Amino acid sequence: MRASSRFKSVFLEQMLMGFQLSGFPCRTMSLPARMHAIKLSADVAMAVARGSRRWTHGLIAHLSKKEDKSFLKCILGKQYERLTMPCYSSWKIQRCKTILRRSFRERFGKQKPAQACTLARSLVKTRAQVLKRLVPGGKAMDGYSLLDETMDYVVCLQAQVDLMRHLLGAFEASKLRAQTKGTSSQGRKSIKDETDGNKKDLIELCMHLSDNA
Amino acid sequence: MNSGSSDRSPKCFLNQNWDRSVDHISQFGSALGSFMSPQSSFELERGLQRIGHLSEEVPPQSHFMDSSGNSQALGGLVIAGNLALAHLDQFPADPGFAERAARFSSFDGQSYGWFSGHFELPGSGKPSTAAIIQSLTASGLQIGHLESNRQIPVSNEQQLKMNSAGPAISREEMSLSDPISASNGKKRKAPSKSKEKDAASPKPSTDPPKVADEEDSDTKRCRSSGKIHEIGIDNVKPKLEQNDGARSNGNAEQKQRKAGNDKPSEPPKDYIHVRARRGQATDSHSLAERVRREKISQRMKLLQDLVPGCSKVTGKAVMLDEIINYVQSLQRQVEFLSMKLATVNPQLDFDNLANLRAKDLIQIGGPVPNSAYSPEMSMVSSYADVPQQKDILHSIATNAMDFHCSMNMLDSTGHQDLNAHQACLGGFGDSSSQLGFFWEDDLQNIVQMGIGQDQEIVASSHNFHGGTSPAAQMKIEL
Repeated sequence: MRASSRFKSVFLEQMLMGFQLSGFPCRTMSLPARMHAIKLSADVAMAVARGSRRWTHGLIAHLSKKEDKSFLKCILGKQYERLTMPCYSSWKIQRCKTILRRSFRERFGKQKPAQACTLARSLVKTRAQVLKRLVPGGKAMDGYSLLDETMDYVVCLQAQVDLMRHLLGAFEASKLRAQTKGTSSQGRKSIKDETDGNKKDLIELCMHLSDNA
Repeated sequence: MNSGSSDRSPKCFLNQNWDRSVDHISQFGSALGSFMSPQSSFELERGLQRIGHLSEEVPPQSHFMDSSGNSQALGGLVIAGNLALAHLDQFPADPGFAERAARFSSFDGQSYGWFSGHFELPGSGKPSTAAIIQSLTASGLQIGHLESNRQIPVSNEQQLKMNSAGPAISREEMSLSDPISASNGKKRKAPSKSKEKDAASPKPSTDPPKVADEEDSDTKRCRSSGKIHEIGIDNVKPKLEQNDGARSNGNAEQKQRKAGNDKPSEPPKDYIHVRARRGQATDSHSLAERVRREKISQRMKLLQDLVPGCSKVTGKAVMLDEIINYVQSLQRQVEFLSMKLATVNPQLDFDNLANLRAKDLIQIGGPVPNSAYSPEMSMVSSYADVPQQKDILHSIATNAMDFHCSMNMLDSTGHQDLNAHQACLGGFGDSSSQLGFFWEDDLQNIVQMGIGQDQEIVASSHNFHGGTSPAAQMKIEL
């Protein structure tokens, strides 16, 4: 199962837009902040490109809770209001506390001897809980939809990793070319030349990549 | 009944041969998988894995005792091969068996004739097999020519069969995948009534037999419409006992295909054809439970295809473990890549990048091209045949080396040689020295996160400078 190319192109566009909006030309940002902003824009781009799924809503809700909203607003633009509506975020399965307490009591009151099936079930339960923590928005899902969302999320993560790697490769290749094309022995060229050369190299490389793929 | 007495002997055969047959099945499944298209192999493996799954959950003896006498008898027939054709008389009486046979056979009328064709009964079997062959070819099967090869060497030694008929089966399986789905769709529409999963209204006890009879006649009608006969799949005869499981699995799967992720209560025309297994409770709760379990197992199998290196894993817990590891490693990779992008970015102006048209970047995908990286990367990425699980850390290692390449480039105060990583690390300029060590610390952190998780696999990068980063020494273990 692979992500569609349309998804990837939308993803990439969004990501580049996000990079731009986060003010990357500003080099005074420290490395962790830059890394954080890149990751944020990549995640948002992934969620936006994927569309409406439970994990995308969960992801955006999680991000909007953690981050400063201004950046998100910039990236998402008009969709910000729609996507961060509170009814989508933190959908927990509402359970009555007394019922929960009662069920816990009767479960832990009489401990049956550990049978293979109950042991296996508890193993599966713990792992499902871990998975719920990993997949954004997983807390509100039951077993079946959790697997479904995990599948989708894994596909999108793979696409994200792929895209970022290609992007990185493109940047570095263009840098290499820029450097090898350097006329003088000095390290730094003028920024304008670099950017033009980089842009051209990037386009070339992307065409090359798309031919290869 | 003589079947009762003769069933004793097959049971002990079953117990002995169960492990062997399961091994054969797994071999067979993997062999098939290499030949067949993913779709058809998926269907077959589903059945195979059902056996494995069932064998985990339930000890084989109890399973065979609980399930219908037919499956017992079938198992005995398959493995021992000693039962006379007289036993076959009782088969059509069981509607469940008829349905199972319907799934795997396609000729008119007699459901048991198929089985007779596959038993190595020296003399008695032959005339009926000839009749079967004729009927099969008459119904327009493509695999008719294979049957004559198949009939003679039918034996209890499944191993021989599997090895010899592996490639031959692949031809059949290719043709099977589509007709099966088509025929299953047909079978769904034909029976007018079905035991619905969400039968909230408790069905009277007389309904199941009535439904069974209807379904029996309906399945016979379906059979006559020419489903592909899985005569070549006599190698997976041990699977037949699990037909009911496979069938309801197939039903659940069809439900998936048609209804997507709909809730169990579906519009009346799209019913869930769930059959109660003989010897199991027939109330709606257990049926619902069973369908739910099968949905989950089906999803697990899809996930198995997604997560690399999980084809051999059975069981939910281990599978979930693998999924968790994979998701975590993907997330870590994203973090790592974003850090690398952060280091590369300062030299590039992103304003111009936004001008890149989307269609230039379409179809960016597929494997990471080696040409994008420096020649040293190709050394590491030439470890192409390592198992998938290690690829992730390898890629991280390549990224790590790449990272140092980029550091070198950024530092570009004359260190044009990409091999001079050590020199690069050692001889930083003023401005970049702090940044350099800072980057290295980040790299160490991220790498150690990766190392902490997968302890048996440690990736190494020989370009790390020994003095500055002792903690980041990693070794590639193949």
